[in-house]
Amino acid sequence: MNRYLPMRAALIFLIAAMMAGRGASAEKQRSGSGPLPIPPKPGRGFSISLGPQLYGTREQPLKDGDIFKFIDGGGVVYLQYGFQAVVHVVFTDKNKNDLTVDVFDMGSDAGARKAFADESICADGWRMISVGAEAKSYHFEPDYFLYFVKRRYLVYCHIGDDGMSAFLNEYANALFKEIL
Amino acid sequence: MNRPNRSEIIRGTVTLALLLTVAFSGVRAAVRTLSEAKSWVITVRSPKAVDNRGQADAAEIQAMLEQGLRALSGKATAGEAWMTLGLKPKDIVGVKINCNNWTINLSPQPELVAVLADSLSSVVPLNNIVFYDMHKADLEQAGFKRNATKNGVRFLAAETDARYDDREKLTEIATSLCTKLINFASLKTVYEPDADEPYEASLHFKNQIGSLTAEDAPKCHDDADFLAAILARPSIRQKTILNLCTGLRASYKRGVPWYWGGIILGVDPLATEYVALQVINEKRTLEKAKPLGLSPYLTIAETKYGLGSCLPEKIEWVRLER
Repeated sequence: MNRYLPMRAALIFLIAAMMAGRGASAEKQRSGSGPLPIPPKPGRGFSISLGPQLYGTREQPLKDGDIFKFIDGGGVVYLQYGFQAVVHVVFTDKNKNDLTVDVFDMGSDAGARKAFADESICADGWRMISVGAEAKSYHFEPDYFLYFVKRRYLVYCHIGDDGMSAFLNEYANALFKEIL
Repeated sequence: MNRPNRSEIIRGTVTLALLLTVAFSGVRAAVRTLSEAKSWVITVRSPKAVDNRGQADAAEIQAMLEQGLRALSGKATAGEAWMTLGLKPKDIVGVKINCNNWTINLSPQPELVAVLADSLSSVVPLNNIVFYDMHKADLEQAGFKRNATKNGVRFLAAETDARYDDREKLTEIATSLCTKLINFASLKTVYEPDADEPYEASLHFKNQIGSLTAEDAPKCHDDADFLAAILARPSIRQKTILNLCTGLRASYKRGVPWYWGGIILGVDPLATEYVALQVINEKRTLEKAKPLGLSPYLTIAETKYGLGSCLPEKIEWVRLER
């Protein structure tokens, strides 16, 4: 056996541990209160087709960039309310239905509530429903989507086929109760 | 040589008059979009183009595009119209589309993209047609699979399929690969904190943000001059032959869509943007929302960069309803 092999293995392990540690500290530095919650699969045959993507602020971009890369100039209003980061996931089923979930970390409970109340984010024309919390739901054929708030998170859920609106409501309810 | 008799003189005069009429009307038709004092903008709407669930009718959209091109150019066919606009058989034409799907899908309908490619192919080979946007993920979410092969219409992502030109700070798809460009925007209203009403339209100027480098793109959000100057960059200014806007599905508030069921075509980017803005404002008025004003970048684009005109008296808006 090559006598340098254990040393080489130890060196590789050390470098890998240092790199992993760097990634973890970057995430810790981002949130200040734990990592962003990653939305789970909704069931019914949906699987991840995009993401999870992570976007941060211009000063502190995350893995996939900053909020402007995610939603162009519309990101400005989120920043006004303390936006820190967003996780974006798209699930797709075998019928090519897309279900999108965005969890915005608004930095504080108050920031999330203010964002929820701002028409620039949650446009008028909503119908209030309950998904554990009050949610603003929108039906623009064939789209159905909703927003709700839990603690510092503003959550957006969308499905491209409004025939599955009840399913989206159930998923949002599960997110509210069990995930965030 | 025999002198012509009276009937021959009359016949000759009538023939000459007819020839002159045809010739002058042809010339007028051919140049009206390019050199008359007024910029022509055509809107074509059809209640059959898209239903209230977003299902587009490709045959109807094809008829709309052809009608729009004929009206804009004064030519009898789409192929002749493209040639009048400056397209040549050896051109590679880049079509900048806007595939931002957040929060509702306002990306160009695949049916309209296919119809446009088919129409362009009356002049150039299919592989010389390049649809592009900044991000591959956005293209795919909008239903356009990347194709960088030598077969068929190409779909490219500026961020990953090309480098950026050092001098113009634009994707080389626009500066090097393509010899002609089409600015294909979506009729969309977005949040804009600096506007009087905190909304403005995102049309042809903002569409070309996707041709910029990732470092430059955010500068457009708080610098009207920077945004205005995008269309004045040499490659975009010199190569763009058409500004096209889809309003099959549009938004009149951020995130609030409606099915306008129309397309907008013009050579002058400012005039086309102005008309698109009026289409949004007609809907906003119906919905009792304050009309959107002219954003500062439009004034700068007109007065500083001479890109066209958004003065209503300099615009000939031709409304076609099917």
